[in-house]
Amino acid sequence: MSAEGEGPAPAKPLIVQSDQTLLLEVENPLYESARSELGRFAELVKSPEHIHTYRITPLSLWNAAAGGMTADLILESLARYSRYSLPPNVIFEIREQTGRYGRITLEKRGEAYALAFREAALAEEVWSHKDLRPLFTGRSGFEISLPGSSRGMVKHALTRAGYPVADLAGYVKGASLELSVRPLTAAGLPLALRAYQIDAAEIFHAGGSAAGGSGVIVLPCGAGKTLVGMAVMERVKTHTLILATGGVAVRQWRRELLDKTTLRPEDIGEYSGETKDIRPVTLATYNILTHRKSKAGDFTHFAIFDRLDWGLIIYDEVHLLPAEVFRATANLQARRRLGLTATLIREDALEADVFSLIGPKKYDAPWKDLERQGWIAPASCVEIRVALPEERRMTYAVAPDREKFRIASENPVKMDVVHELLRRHKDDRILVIGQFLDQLDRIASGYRLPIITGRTPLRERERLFEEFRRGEIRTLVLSKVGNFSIDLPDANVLIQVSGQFGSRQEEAQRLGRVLRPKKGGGSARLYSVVSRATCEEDFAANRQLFLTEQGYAYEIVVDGALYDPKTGVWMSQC
Amino acid sequence: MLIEELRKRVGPAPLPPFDAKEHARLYKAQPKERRRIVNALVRAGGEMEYARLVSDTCAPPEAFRGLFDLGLVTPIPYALAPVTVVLPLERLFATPLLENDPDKLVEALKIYPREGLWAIASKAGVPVDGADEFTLRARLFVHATAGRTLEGLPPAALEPLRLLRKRGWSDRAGRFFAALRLLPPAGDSAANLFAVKGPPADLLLRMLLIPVRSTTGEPYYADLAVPSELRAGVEELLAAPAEAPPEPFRPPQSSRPPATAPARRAPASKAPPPPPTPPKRDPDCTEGRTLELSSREGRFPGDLARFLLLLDQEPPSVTQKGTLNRRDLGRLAKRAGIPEEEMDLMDSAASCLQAYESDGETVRVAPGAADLVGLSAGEMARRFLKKLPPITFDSPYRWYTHNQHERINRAVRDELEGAMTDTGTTVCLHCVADSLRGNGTLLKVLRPEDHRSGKAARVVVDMLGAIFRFTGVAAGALLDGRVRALRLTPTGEAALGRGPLTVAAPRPEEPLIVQPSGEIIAPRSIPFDDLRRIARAAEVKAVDAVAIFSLNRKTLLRAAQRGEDLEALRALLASRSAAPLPQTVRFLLEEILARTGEIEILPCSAVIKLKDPALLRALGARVVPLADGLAMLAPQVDPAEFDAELRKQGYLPRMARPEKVGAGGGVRNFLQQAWLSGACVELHLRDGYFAAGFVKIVDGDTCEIEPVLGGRGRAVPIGSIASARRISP
Repeated sequence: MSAEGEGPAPAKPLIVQSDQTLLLEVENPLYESARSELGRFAELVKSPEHIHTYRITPLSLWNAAAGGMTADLILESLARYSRYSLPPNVIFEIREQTGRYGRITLEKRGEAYALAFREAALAEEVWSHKDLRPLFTGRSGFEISLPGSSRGMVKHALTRAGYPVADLAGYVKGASLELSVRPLTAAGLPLALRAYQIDAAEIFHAGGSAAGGSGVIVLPCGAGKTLVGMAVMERVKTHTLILATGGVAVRQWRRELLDKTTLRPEDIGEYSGETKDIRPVTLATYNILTHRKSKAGDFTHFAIFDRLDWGLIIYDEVHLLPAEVFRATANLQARRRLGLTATLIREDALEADVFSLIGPKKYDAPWKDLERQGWIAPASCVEIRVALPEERRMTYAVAPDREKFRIASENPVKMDVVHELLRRHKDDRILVIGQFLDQLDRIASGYRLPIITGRTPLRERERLFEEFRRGEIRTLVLSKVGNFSIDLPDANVLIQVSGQFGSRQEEAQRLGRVLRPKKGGGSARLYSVVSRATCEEDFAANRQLFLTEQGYAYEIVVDGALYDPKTGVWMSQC
Repeated sequence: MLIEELRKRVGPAPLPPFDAKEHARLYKAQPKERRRIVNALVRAGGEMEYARLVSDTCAPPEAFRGLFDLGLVTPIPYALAPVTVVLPLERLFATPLLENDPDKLVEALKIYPREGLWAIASKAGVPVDGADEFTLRARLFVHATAGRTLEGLPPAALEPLRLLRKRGWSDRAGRFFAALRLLPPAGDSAANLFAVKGPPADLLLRMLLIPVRSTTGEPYYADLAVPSELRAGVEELLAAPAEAPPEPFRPPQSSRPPATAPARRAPASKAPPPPPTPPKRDPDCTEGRTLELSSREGRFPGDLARFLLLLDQEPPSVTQKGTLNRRDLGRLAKRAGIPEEEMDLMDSAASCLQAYESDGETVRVAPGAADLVGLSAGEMARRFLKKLPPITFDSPYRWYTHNQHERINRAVRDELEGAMTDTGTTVCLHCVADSLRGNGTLLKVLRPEDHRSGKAARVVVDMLGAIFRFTGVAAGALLDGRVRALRLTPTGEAALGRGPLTVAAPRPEEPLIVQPSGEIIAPRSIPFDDLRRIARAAEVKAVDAVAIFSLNRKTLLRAAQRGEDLEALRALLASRSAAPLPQTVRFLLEEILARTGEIEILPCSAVIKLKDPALLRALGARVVPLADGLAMLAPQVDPAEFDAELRKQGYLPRMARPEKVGAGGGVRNFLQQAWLSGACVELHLRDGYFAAGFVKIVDGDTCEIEPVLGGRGRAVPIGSIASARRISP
């Protein structure tokens, strides 16, 4: 496999690096077929404009092996699309890792479980492990028995140690629940699942076999993750617990379920701070689950996991899953688990835990691909840089570092930009979103706009969102409570006046608020207003990383370019 | 299953009955030279090399033979050393025999690392059931060493403390799983095992069949209870009828030339090299017995390019001896993502190929490096061989680490060729394979005649390692008990002039891809000098099939501070990129360029010029405002520290070039002009003092300096001025 003597084959779109990254050329005619092949054994890392980056990881290889792919098939596939010869260490690693899958299997033995080994040495090794040993109940030859409660922790530990467990123990069925996705919504609109939604649900379900049933589906904001959840529910037909980020999200799930499935209102319960109603489909918030009376107290609401015979648990916005819920999830390995997210980026670096406790990434679609197919609105992103006024510059110059960000974020000149943007987009549906309440209050009061913050009661929020949906309100000011899980399909312009430092996840989620496909194919716009020559610029650059890696290009406009006095054109890019 | 089978076959280690009194009597009855051997063995923890034993004790081989006949020592044939002798521990630690006491054992134990315990347990045939037991034994071990006594320990606990070995096992108990790993010596022994089939074979077989733990998380390591290369041999052994009774051990004659040793080749200068002949194929050579390739095989060209790019970014310093500073090299390794042990090789190869050059203080990439990194692997290997310096050297091992100053005899090259191509050469390829998997240097590839010196062999090994890593020359090995030879890849054949050189087709020049995130993807067809220019302003992420850089504010600021020409970089990116530069990247470059010169430090190093008055506030009490845009550093502020701090904050102060005159350079005219223009000047006087301020000519011989901040002027004789320079417009 030496690179010696081989010339390039320009028609091939893939470059395999010896650090196991794969670079896929987007403009190549073979891109589409290569992409679908790579998706089976490599993880998409980023998908910017010209070159998409994938990575072969042990996890991706184990997933491929679990799906029946052999090392030879993977290598053949790589060789077919690779421009240069495959590095020997990549070949070695693929063989090694795929060979590891299946060396330990988890099987059901009556009410308990057993780890089954092919090799005595490995069995001995696992049995002797001091952290795992307390989780086991006994050993006989090539098998180690364990109770159901240890299932998650053992799997987690062994995966981290490089020995994936092929979990063949299956899942509990859960109490049955008849439901299906309607062909016509309750409002009478035709409803059909899109191809990628069906794919995602099928891959997750895997025909009901033990190979499926747990995992994470990553789809862009606005691509219909809720519908994927419903499609999975339709296939599993069992009592379902849905965990969501907050009260608004819970209500949206409820509304969507009633609108798009055959579930009746009495089938759906809500378990939140306000009500504790448990029904065959129960919607709960992360907040209520992690609530406890004192720091040392128990999480009393974890009892919900045992209150009904759940056959499926859906974790909405799984990237926000609190660490405490992770721990509870470790005990729920017998139940099917579906994680839904658009941005699996965690600042606490617990992505790996998501994979091992909820399940591996089962489906991931590049944002720009769905945009090209018209499933999410095409979006343009503009970063508007405005200077700090003179007096603020002096304050900024002498401020301690931790205050500089706030001074830059609350730059009063941003108000002028907001004013111009509101004027320019007076016929559009606008969301103004920011981090600092004083700033948002000034905008809201200055332009007499309704505002939603954490202090706004749930009912009030619901009312304002509903009015926005009906078009009675055309502009809404939102604090960070608007970052996630709000469904405002007609919003098409988002003005971001400040943010949470360099959070890539927040930037992407905010763009997601305006990505729902527009009637008539309209496009969405994200304006991010930042202060020039301040630390906010650096944070903005970091915030934009996720989206630029998804192929979104930011247009940068400096304040001097806002007006062209000669032509009278304002911001020609827009 | 194989292991289990073998376990049944081998059974527990037979320990002969031991009578301490009898052995004490025997010991005392031995001639002096034999007792010296035993004492040396005690010092060596029960193990020592026969060669060393002979040289250390001056004991004739007969002495050893006598001890063997008495059952006091057990020989183990090694590939590395001619013979390793192991003293059965019931003898070694028998107090009456050795005139020793447990405290001495405790002293000995103290020098052994914890893995000694595992090794002892394994070698003594004591099964190690699990981590718990290991922990217990470790505690016992600690107890034994800390308490300075073995009293009170149960016999079972003492059992594993019997046979000590310094090397050969590694303890990986700190990780997720406790794991043992057979290191090359054990593998060597195993390689010999199936050829010897004598008493040592039993011992070694038991050694290999200890329940060795599997490692986890190490990508290139599988269960090693029986090395995969030996599997066929082991199976063969199992299939064979019951083992014949052990043959008496015959110690090797140190002067004995090996039957299979190849004739040493004549130096290239004296006789022309023979025409290429294909190596003889051994009848035992089967495809199934070839070694696996190194995990890093073929990565060298990319590694070398990355090494050079990083070396260009931060040139490492050289020591007084002219070698590369180890710390700098370590830092480079970290940044390059190259294993530290491979950096020596990288350094050696780069040095041999003259990829960098030194000015005595630092090294820099040589002009010819650009051609070098574009070469095919075969051609690179060929050049490498040609470049080996033809002078003798004292310390062969040092060549490996500090090759640029050590010199190698031309004959070494011939040895290398011999080692790589002659089928008669004895090379322990288990070690080769292990080393090639990244376990370290190739130290154990030997030819029998090298047993005596060890020096030349080590060089051969080093060079073999180097060339292998360099080009992936060797691809396999034959194995029939002892390993016979390496098999060459076409590249290796070409490198040694034994086959045609396959020349890689030149890659068509492809454009750069600059992504909006600042990622730059550069095909390898881009000229190396352009890659260098990009690398100086960006982070090198990978150099492989393509080179990947990451351009961001931090890297650009660092580049600007080093004085890199960012304008040129922008032009380069724009010209090489297929598409227009993304706006984000363009703005980033423009912004950094705009930062240059926001603050200007004027020639006297104490007056600064600010484009933006707001900066004055940011600088706080460190400066005193003078006039519009001008300020002077406060007296307590060190200009150099001030400059460094500004750079840390992201400002790029520009140093104005001083307008300066020396004593013979028309000081008088200079002062005259400065007076007329009202400029501020700095005067350096011959007596070492200096003065700064506005100048005024008093008469033909004297001028007056008026301080900038006001006050009384000072008269300065013009003749006392050594140099003068203008510090403000």
